[in-house]
Amino acid sequence: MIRQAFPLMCALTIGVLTVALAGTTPSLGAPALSETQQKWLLEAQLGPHSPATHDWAAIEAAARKEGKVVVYSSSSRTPAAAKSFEAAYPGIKVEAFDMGTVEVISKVKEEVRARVRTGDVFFAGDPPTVIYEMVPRRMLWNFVPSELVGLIPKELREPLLVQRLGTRVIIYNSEVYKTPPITSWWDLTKPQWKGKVQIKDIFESGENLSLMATFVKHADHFASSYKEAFGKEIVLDKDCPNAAFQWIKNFLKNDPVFAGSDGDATSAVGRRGQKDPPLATVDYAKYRDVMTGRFVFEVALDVKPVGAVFYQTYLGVIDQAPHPNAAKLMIRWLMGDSRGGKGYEPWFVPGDYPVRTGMLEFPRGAVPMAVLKTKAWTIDPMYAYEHGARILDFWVANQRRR
Amino acid sequence: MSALHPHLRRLWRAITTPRILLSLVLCALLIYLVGVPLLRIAWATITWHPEDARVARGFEEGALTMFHWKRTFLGTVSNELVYRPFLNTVVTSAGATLLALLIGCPLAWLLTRTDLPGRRLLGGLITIPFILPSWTIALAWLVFFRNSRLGGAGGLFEYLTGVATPNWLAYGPVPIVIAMGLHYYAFTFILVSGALASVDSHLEESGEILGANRWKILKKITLPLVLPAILSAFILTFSRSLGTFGTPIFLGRPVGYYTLATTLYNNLRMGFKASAYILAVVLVVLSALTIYGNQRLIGTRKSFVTISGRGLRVRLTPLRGWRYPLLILVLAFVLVCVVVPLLLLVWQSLMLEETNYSLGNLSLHYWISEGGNRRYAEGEAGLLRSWLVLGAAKNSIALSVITAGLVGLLGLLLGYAIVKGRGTRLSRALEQISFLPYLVPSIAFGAVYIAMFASPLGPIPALYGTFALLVLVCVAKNLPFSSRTGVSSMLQVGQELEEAAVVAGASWTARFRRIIVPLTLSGFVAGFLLTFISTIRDLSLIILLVTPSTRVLPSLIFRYNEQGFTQFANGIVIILVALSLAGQWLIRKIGKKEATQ
Amino acid sequence: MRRIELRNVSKRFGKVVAVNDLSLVIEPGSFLTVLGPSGCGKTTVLRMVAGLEDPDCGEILIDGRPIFSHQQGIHVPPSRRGLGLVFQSYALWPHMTVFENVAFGLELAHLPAQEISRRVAQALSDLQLAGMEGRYPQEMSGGQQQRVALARMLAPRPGIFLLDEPLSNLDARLRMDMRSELKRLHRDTGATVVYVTHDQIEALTLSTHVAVMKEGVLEQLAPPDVVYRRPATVFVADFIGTPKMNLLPAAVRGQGEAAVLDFGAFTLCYPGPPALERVIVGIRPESIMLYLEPQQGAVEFETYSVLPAGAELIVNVRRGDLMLTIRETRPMTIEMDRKIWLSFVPATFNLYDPVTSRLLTDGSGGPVP
Repeated sequence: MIRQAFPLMCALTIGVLTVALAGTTPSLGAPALSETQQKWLLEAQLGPHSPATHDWAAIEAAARKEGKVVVYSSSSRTPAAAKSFEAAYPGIKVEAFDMGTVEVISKVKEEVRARVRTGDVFFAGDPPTVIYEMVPRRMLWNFVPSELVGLIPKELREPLLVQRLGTRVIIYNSEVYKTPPITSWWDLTKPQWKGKVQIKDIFESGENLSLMATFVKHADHFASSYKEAFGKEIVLDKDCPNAAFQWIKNFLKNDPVFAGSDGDATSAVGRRGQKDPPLATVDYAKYRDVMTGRFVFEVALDVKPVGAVFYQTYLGVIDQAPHPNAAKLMIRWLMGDSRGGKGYEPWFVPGDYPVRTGMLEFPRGAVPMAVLKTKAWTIDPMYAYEHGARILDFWVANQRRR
Repeated sequence: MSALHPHLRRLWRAITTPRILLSLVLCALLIYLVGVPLLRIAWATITWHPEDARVARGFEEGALTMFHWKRTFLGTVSNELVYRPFLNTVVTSAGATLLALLIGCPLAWLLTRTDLPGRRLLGGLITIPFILPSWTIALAWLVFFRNSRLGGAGGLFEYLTGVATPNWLAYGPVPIVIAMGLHYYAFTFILVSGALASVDSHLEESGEILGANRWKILKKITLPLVLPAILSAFILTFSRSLGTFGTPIFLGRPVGYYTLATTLYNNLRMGFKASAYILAVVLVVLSALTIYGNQRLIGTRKSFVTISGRGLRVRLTPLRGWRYPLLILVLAFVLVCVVVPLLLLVWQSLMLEETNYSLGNLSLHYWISEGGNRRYAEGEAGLLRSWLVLGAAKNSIALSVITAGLVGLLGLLLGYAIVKGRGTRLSRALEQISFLPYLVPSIAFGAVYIAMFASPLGPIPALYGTFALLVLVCVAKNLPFSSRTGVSSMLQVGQELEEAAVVAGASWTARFRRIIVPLTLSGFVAGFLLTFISTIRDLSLIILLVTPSTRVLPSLIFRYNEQGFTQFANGIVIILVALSLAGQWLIRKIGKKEATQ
Repeated sequence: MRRIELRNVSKRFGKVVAVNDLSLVIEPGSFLTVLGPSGCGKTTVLRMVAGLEDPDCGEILIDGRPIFSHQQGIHVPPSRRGLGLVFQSYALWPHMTVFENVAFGLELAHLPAQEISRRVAQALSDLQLAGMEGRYPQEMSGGQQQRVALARMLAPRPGIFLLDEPLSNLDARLRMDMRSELKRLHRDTGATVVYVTHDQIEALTLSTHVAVMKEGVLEQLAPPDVVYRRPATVFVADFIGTPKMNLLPAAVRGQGEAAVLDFGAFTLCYPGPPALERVIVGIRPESIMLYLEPQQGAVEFETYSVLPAGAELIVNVRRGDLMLTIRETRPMTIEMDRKIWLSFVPATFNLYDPVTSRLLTDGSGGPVP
């Protein structure tokens, strides 16, 4: 009897396998709008159906009916904004998940691919992936509150709305060092700082990967600043196509510490009572810990060839989000107002720069944008997207792993 | 009546025999849960993915390619991507396994073959690490040994001694081996003491009569008898530690020490799926080879240890003057690897300012505050008020209870189908497939399930991000154990007990409900308990599959740790341990009540 | 009173042939014992009749109606065959009380509750188990468990009893008691009984017919006394009887009245042997006469071992290479290593063909009917 059943089983198996293998990898490359997608866009008034002006009363009413909004965010400050949102719109529950950029992006990608609809608001950085992978593949939809259109420069609201510009900088412990202990990124490759620079592994941090890509884009400046730092022309190793690659290589040779998070790195630098504190490459916005008195550090803005690198943090509605109206309300809330506003409050700190023009107030202790602009570069998403993998491979290959 | 009829009737009867029908259904289920995912992940390593746009140009999605294998094994990054992690994995796993054996075997001997006082109680205490999350010790290690490399000041060790913890002691292979060894020794202990307990003292006494001294008896008789069990314990522990994720990521990352499991995780997170899947395949192959080797090497010798259950006499070796010194040593060991780590975690969760060890710094802030003070953890509310923690706790409990229930039931069904079909090919096939998940290291299993359920497959919707997927992966991973317990409890139910019911006219469902289930209840409870324990604390298996809404306590611990909110992370470990213990107590109580009825 | 018939039934497990082309008729009301060493297929026969095992080919009929037929694809489930089964292990459900055990089958037949309690009470009192309804099997002695198993079989009032070595787990004394109870039960119920055992005493004492099986093949089917006196094959001769029948190879010399069986160590006159050069001679130990002094026509042997067993004496003797076993029921004392004299009764000999192993003649010289 078993013998008779066996061929049947084999046939079954083969059948299952055929389905399994044939059904793999649905195409993600700039797909045509599906029917459900079109329906959703129409209902949510997004994409091609965006109205010229938003009727906020109607949106709010619809949002209340939805009753909930789920935010996937890379910022540990989001829960605070969620709290103020809940206070402002009682009845709309916020589930704000603070996950780190890489996590947010991979979750949204997987969910869209799996057609699981849970998240509403996308709130994270990593410009190359967002602009060149997610937006073209219609995983995210742009939503710019109509009253803000005139207030935000086009490149900061297209193809996806930027909530703020963050800043990657080098920080140092100001209790030990009264003045910046370094003047150049090249100083980080010197023996003096061996094992004493904290950075989140670019393998785990899109921000830092983009930072390196920006360095590579401006490799010439690295060549000239080398001369300033060492007093001689740079000689490139065979495997280094330009000075920025050489910097990455030398930097990795100097045993940087791969912090679990920017928070860890900041705490390593800024804790009081240290004798030999390290440096760290983190978000300028961590400076808020200095304002609360938790840590003591300063930002080294006058290092060569660049003092800071701006990067974009985006807000978008996730494709076929279950609560699109609440998502819109949340996006408007997070954009704040010209005095900061309750929704933007957690980011109304030194180091974070709102994108709207004509701000009436500035955070206490902040370096004005106009000043910082002269010392900073901005991440070029296109360049980072094209060169990211090469830089990552170079990084991994030169990382002194054990 | 045509000539075809009897044939069809016979075939129909063969297929609709409950055992055969059940076996076929279970086979299909297992193939779907284990076989298809494995094939799909292998397939995914030889096709193009949309994410590959970052590393290559001009390809067609879904088309076949060897690009990923070449990049992984022959490319510029292959050293860091696969070879070094491979080496690190083997080194840490082997080290941890050796340590586990060095601790587990003597303990097993002391507790089963000597007159050490309080053996029963000690046996309970010694196996506690087995029910704790495997990375508890890793986190406690960080509290104690961390140095300024990670976030400012050092740990308790530095505070107490004033000596900076060297890197090799704080992070990397040494602490990983120690932390994993101190967890897995409990596993070794259980396996080896089982074998030792079944060695008949008559065998040893025969040696004694022939004039061998105690040491010689241990060396020439006892040890060879349990050697297969020890070798087996080595292999099983080794293959288990291969896929461990928590400990290596907590202790390895600060110094860039990556294993296959952590490299896999990083690759998947950065969207390098194909590389991640290849690493998963490497892990599966490594683990499968190890276990295959085990079976080849000692499969035949296993028969040495005869568990007859009858006429077994165990004579305890007198320790004489060593009784109390050894007792103190064992107690001290339990203290160091169970009590101290938990106390360290409790203490740390009460420290308002991280790394300030003065008593004045102790506070319940991270447990009960309403939040709002940006200075501490970005103003997040305390653990007991946090909706995140509450949701995760609910998910954890739901996941482990549902999984344990399903696994227990499946185990019974599998046990039934395997035992009743003993000797048939179907039964063998079933037994072998249900063992397959054992070959797949936990983290690789997670990766396999992403590949499998990321997109819809035929009529089955994509399960990514759903709670069902977590249940599914936990059920599948626990199947080998549950089918084992199912088989052994089914073997205890004589075939004739069921046949008597057949003759009495009971249908299959009536038999299962009224005869089989009541008689195997204790086995079911034991299996339930085991699955509950291993599921509620699991990180390696689910880390790749959790999403914010399906978060569980271990994934939250990982997240908080990554974020640097260590007080939260360590506090949740305590909550998790408390929940696990409470759950076990409750299950045992209910199980006992049911069994006596 | 039910008639059971097996037609050309075969069953194999993997490569092992458990039952080979077995045809058998069990007359209504008879008590058939299937006897044989372990692994001979006897339990398989029982399980096939019960419906727990399907034959690979052949048919099984009850009262002329097929309950199993490979050719026609018929399989009547066990519970609709109208039979009861007692397992070797009794298979009492340990989580049910005595009452629940006995009532289980009745419940499944959807009998009214009153009828169930009446029948259970009847079955239990028939087997002297009244008052034990609330006990669990583990709380009872082996003999009591055995009675519960019988009660469970009896309660639905089947016409066929199938008993699979039911007494093998009892001690010798209990076994004796149960034998007579079983015989009583058979008489009182008039059921057709199929009884599987490897214990020849049970077979000889209980049954109306004995079927001896070897390696899946039926060796002999006959009433017990025929099986004992005239075993149809060397195997049956060897298997039945304690101590075993003496089986001696012998050469046949001469013809007719003057023929002689030459055992090597000695010869005997044997009138009218078959026309074969060699035979195997079967001699029951109790049919050899033993003398302590030389006798006319007796052959001299030497005692090898003497095993007194109360009512009887088993004596092993030898002459040259030849060993013989004798059962002596007269009380006497015999030393080891002494000379004794044996006389034989050729009329009780069974002669077997050494090639086919089958019985050739009976003692009167005529062929076996």
